[in-house]
Amino acid sequence: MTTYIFRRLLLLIPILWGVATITFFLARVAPGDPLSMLAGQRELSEERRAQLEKELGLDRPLIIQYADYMTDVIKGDLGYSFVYKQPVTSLILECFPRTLVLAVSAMVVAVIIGIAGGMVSALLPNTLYDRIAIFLSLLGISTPVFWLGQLLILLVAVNWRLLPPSGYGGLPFLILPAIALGTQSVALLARMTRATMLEVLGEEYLRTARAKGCTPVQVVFRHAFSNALIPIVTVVGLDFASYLSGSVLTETVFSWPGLGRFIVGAIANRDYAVISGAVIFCAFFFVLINLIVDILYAWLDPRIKYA
Amino acid sequence: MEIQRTFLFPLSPARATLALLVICCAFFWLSCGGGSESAKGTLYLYEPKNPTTLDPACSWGVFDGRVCSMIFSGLIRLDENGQVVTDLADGLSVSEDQTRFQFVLKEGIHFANGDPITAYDVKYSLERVLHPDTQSTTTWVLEKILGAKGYTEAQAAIKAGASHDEIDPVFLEGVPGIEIYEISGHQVLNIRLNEPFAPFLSLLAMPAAAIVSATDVREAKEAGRSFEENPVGAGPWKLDHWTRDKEIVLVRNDKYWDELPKLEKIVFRIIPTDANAVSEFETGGLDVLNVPLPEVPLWRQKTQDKAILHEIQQLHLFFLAFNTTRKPFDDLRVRKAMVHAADIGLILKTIREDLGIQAKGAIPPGLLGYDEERQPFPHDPELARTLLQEAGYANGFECEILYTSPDTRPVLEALQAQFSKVGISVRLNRAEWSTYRELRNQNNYDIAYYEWYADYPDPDNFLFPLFHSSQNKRYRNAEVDNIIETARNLPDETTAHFIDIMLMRNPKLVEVTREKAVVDAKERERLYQLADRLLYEDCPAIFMWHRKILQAVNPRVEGYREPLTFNGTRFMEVETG
Amino acid sequence: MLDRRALKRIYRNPLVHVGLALSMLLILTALFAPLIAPYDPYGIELVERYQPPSAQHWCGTDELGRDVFSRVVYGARISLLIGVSARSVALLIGVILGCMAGYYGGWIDQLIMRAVDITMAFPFLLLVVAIAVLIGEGLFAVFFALASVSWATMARLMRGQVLTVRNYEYISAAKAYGAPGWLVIWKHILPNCFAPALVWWTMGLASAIMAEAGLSFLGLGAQPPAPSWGSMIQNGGDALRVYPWTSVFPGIALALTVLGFNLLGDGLRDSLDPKNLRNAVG
Repeated sequence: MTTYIFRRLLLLIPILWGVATITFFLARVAPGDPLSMLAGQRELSEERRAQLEKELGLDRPLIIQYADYMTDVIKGDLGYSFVYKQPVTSLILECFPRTLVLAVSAMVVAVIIGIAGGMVSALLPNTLYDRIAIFLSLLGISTPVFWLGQLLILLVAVNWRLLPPSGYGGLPFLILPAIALGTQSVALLARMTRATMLEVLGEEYLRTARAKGCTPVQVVFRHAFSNALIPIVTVVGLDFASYLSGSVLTETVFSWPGLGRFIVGAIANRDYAVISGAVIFCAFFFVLINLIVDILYAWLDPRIKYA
Repeated sequence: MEIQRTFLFPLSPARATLALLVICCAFFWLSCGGGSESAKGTLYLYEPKNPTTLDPACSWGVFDGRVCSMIFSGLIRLDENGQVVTDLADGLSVSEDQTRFQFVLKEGIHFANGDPITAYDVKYSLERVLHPDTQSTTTWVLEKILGAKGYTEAQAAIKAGASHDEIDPVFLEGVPGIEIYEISGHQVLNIRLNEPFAPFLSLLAMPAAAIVSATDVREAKEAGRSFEENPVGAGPWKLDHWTRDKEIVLVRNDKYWDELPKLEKIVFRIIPTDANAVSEFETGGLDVLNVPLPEVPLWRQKTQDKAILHEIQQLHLFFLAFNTTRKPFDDLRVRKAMVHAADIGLILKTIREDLGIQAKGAIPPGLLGYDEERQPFPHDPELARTLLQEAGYANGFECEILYTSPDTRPVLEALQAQFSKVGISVRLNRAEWSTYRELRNQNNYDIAYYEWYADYPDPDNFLFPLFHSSQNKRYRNAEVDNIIETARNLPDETTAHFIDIMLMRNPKLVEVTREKAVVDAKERERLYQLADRLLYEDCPAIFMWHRKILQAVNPRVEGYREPLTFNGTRFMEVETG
Repeated sequence: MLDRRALKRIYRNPLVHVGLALSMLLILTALFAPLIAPYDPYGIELVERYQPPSAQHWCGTDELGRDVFSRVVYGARISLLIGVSARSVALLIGVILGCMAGYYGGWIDQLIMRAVDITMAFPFLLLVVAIAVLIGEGLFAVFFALASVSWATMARLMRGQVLTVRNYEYISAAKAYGAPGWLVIWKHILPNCFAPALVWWTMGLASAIMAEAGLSFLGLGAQPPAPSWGSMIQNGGDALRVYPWTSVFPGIALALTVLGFNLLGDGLRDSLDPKNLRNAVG
């Protein structure tokens, strides 16, 4: 197991290197004037432009900039934002916790609704309830999050005045965005739960357990559900990883000050260091969460062995 | 049975639920950041995006400038009506030719951190903008000062490793045009200009001329902390905190030299979508709302007890600039044809809900040189077709409009349809801000969208940066260039009022000089009117409109007034109930 | 290949029927848009702006007085075009690279799989945004971005399939007879991978259409005046409270389309996955 984890961690290096390199060149090859965020509508004079490019180190050959950047990254320094004039690391650490809070809450919403729905579906297979539950969960995944978000704001916040419409703060601010984002995972979770539970409920040993006098509740929770956990962990892990970087739309609709909006803003600003740094950060988390999912997998199912 | 055991999840459902709940609660507690209940003594405003910076030396955006002008004070500032008033300067005198300015600092004034403000801080602040390390893009504000450019170049050379012997010694000390000394206990600052520059006083109200604390900036640099984390200024407000993408909170600065603001706190919330801003205003999370266009008819019918509505004319110009270095836009007939083909009046009335005045030149109403009499070119597709025929484009042509603001899209789509009726097929190319700027820098466009807000209330601010050939390389009109240059070097009426005994030592002469200067200043008005007419006739752009906004103010707010320029208000008189 | 039993299971699954109906509806709408739409989707009538739904305008008119129904109908073309083209190209790339990795193994496998890892480690939406920025906003950028991101999962899937099939007796036999690699892949391996590829393609269609809408919502996708559902939702968003029809109808169209492909893909997967034999609906 340890060697496996070690090997996986080793694999991180080429992945992060690839991500960093692609991002570096993608950002710089893209059209766009990096000084535009410093200058506004007014035209910069040629001499001033040259001076600024020199100050920001943009006049050096690209390959040298790349070499310098990679050296810094290896040292753990993600560089300096020339728009915000702050270290990229501290900027990311400022936004990331907010995205994390949103992602966790959305996952909680998704897990509660998805698993409950899936379980009931599995217990009443092929009934009307089952079909409606599957249909609704698929409808959930099919509803664009930005559209659902707008409707939620209009209905819950503006018409009924139950929750604040947007912004960042305590629990009340979190509910609507968490629902909008979490809805995206409900369908898959419900489906997974239903399928694996159906599979497990048909197994021999459950019949044995029932015969041994376990109550139906015990059978469902202790035996069937715990087995369904493995695929659920996978879904939760993968979706969670994508929430961490892919909640741009939700963040935009709900004015949530998270990492996604921050990165999209940085792309628009051509704030090179921020783009590269944030993408490396997201990729790192993605790979890490994948690793954790795989380890959990092994932990939950002792039949899986990693060499 | 063996397998079964190992399969069991170690937690019972009850315990798992409990653990989940605890984790959730911990999370929510961590994420708690206070509600949005509107508090007494606090004003809630909003902006769609973060400011790019809170360093006045680098600030250029409307929002940056707005916050900077509240946190920082300059020698002078603009009031709500765009009039020059003194701020940290107690007295101001100007030489007859308007090239020398003398400021006497107020006594006993302090920065928000308690440090006294000296003339040295003022000199340091201005020189800091010009220093290459600051990476400011607003150096143009100060570049008329004698030796400003030389100073920047000399400092850059020093950075690049030039020895002090190679540098002209005048620049080692600082900018030659800025001198400080003491006269009988008063701290005095002299500024000399290369040549007379009419808008100079208004420029000194720009953030780039704000006074920062020399000690604080140096300490911050040594400690390696960013200046923006805790900007120290001498304005009536100080920064409490800035949570990116969430809010900027300003609190009253008790060390401010004048009467303190009536409010305790101002919160600028960052709300990216109009729809959310409306929701927030309706639920009490915002005190002032710029009503988004689709909602305008609805709000106009609203009763005033829920929101007090104002229509505000802004110093603004929206236009579509032709690249006259490209065919077919080098031909006046083609440009004119497009102007006639566009039904701007109809677009203004429908899409813009009548919020704006159709432009008939570059200068907006309310500024020197605006011509009430002149009528915009009428919408006349027939004439447009004739003009195209004369120019040899009877079958029309294809071109592209480059734009960046998504709000402009419906307007451009409507224009697209109108142009197609005279045979001109237009593609709309939306580019992000930085790409748009790059294409503009490279002169690589047919027609480009421009939206311009005044930095200072002077027609020079609309003519020079937008239509002078040194700034706009896609249009050259020697006559217009000439007039703009002449006008900006003429005596200015506002400045003339400060021509003073201190420099002239002869009261009678002062009186005469002032009167003469005021008469000369009338010449500026004539010149600007002329330049604007020439632009109107030469159609370097399709002049669209000067926009108005419909503003809704929460009735609990008293004394709120939208200023003429971004830096025109510090919310001193505003109160919230 | 789809065997008869699988087809039978598909046939018996009611959710697949709904999915199929919705998908067919979309395809027919896209094909016959000019016949269905009562108005020109680009026809601007400023005086007719923001008309509520009525007998003339079934879904009302938008901020420029264009008929929302006609625009929604034409929007189906954009969604379908982007979805099908991006997905198919990604399928092609994925199949080729996946087969190569699985069949040849060794350094080719290593190279391709590291590329897969890197592509998958990129935050999906952000990479798409970056590519859209890189090659200029517009539908082609959306297509290019989606295709260049989504091939990775297909390649991985394909490689797995090839690895399982590779050691089957008949393949070894074919190899032993000296059949060239591409022929073995083409004749013997690919047919085995048809079912998972079909499921992958259908399920992905939904997410590709959604991604196009999301990008257009952010203003990076289809450019005006193209009637993309995403940009219609974005444009109508600010007017949602006053003129809800401008964004509600494109939203419904988008949701139904994505739902259709999701149901179809879901049903196909249930029916084609032998593991689900016992629990398959019906």
